Amino acid sequence: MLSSVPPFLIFFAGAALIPLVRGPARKGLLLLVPVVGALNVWGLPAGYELPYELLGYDLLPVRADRLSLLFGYLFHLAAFIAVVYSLHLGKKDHDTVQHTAGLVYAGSALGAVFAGDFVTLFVFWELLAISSVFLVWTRRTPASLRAGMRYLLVHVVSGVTLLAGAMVLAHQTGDLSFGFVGLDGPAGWLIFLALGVKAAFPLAHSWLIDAYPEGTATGTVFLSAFTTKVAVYALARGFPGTEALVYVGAAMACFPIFYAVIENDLRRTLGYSMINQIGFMVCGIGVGSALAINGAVAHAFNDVLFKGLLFMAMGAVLHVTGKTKASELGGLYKTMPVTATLCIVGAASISAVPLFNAFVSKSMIMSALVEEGHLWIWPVMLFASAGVVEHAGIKIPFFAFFAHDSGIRAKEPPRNMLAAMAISAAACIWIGVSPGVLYDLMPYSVDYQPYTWGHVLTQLQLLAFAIGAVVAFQLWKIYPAEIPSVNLDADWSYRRAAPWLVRRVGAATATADAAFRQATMNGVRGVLGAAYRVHGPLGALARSRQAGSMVLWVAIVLAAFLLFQFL
Amino acid sequence: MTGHRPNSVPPLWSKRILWGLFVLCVALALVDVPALIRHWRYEEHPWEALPMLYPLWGFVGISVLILASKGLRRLVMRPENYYEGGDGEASDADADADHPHEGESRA
Repeated sequence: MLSSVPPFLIFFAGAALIPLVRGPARKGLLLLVPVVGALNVWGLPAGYELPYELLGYDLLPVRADRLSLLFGYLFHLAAFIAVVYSLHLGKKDHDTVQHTAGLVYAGSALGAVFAGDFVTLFVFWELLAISSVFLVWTRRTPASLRAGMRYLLVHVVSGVTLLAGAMVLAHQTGDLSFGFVGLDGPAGWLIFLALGVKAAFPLAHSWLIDAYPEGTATGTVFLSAFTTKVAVYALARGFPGTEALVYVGAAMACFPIFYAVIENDLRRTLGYSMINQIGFMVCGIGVGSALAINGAVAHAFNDVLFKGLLFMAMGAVLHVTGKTKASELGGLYKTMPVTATLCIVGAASISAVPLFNAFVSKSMIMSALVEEGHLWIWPVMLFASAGVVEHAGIKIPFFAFFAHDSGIRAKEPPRNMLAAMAISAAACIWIGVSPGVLYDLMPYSVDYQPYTWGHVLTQLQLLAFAIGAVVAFQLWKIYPAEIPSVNLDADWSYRRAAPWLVRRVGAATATADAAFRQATMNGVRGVLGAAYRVHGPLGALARSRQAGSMVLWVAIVLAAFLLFQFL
Repeated sequence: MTGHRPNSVPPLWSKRILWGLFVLCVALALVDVPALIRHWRYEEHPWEALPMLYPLWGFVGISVLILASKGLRRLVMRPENYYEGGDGEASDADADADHPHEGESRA
């Protein structure tokens, strides 16, 4: 029965077949895998479970409920779009590695969201890291190799932390099932931290802005869809209503937008934008009401579409120009009008313009914040919403396609790239116009109407004046110029501070070690010298005495003795 | 820096876009005038009763964002090769020279 196939197996089987076929067969297989997978998941009823016993523990490698099914549908859609986007890859692009890694990565994400226990979750958690790093490494630049290694280390640490938390939990409760965890006790905190690393919590976020811009043009599209969304799913499953997440989410929504303004690499700007959008999701999960959770997962769904679209647009620019830095781009709309238009659709979507998808999901989170009494977080998130307009709504399309003419006259990217972008753009608009499409998939029943006159008008006011401020600062020449540079972020701690500290500590240890060795050697030499002086060939104890001299000494001692007797 | 490069959008179009945005902002600001007289609109948060809340939040918020980011840049901006020197890391420019197609073929 098709509906009983674990969703990840179809992707893993497809990945195993990829190296065996080339040309049209490869393309057909790539397209077939997400389609067959989607049909399989469509046949999974909510409540479906596939139990398995291991070492006395009851595991649940596959569990389907409304929450996991929503992410299951999303990941199939994302995989299909990413596959279409990567169909043009050839041998010199290391297509086999990219296609295989992409399918294993998507399958691992599916395995994680359908995991009903922590052991299964851990396995797919690590597989996500291992498979996705090849999408960074395949770019084959020294920078991408280093960034990939850092990415892998961070995610392996996250996985090990998750395993530690699961082991503590199993020790305490004897149960490994993946349900609500909460922050009671060390197990909860360990699992929370593990999820936080993958969700790019503040200070644990820099793997994202470090590695994603270094991936291949197509690889980063895969990357943007799965890793962080698996973490969002896991937070929604394990920590709904955890108040700390409200504040963590607010911080995530706010701090990256400052960096995004001054970042020169447009794909890194999108990385900051991704953290900002995950902040909205995390905040919604922290609020924990039905409306908030619906808003959070709906926003995750939408983010995959509009952020994927923006990453695809920048990937297309990278593909045809070899550049993604704002200081090197500009004026591309003249020769890439279709890509520019699709990028603007993505920009409008992420900015929550009415009739685009984020308007619906972001509104749900904002309304839930007020409904649940988080009145001081609401203005913070409203500020973050305005900030999105600046960096993703304007900066990305403006500096790539308009602004100053770079003189680059690149052609449109291959048709498969345009088709993938068009699918995403159509989905962004479709969900924005008919939010009921998404409501039907939500984990809780939805009774929310985003399209009221007041709501639409206030949102338009926010957007128009935010855009007005950006334009005004541009005209007044106060807007930060695009400067070839890097900005120090949390990754400075392990790229500069930690190596510096290790070098310093190493140098100090070496000096102390040398001094200690010297002192010890001096002591040993002194002892040896003294021993040599006494016991050496010329030492007092080593001198040889002749028998005659001994007789003389005996005679002297006897004479002295006799003398003392007479006295 | 891109200050010496020509604008890619013709000046006439730039002017039209700017005027369009200006008119839109004025029109949307006028929507709030009735709110000065009587609370009438969509309100979930108590602050939403304040007239011009959203236009002000949008404009002031972005102004603060841009000015604060300029301050942040003074603190955190470093040369592009900052991470390439001290740690024995090779230059990305060298890498790009070896891989002009960024890991993929051009169209």
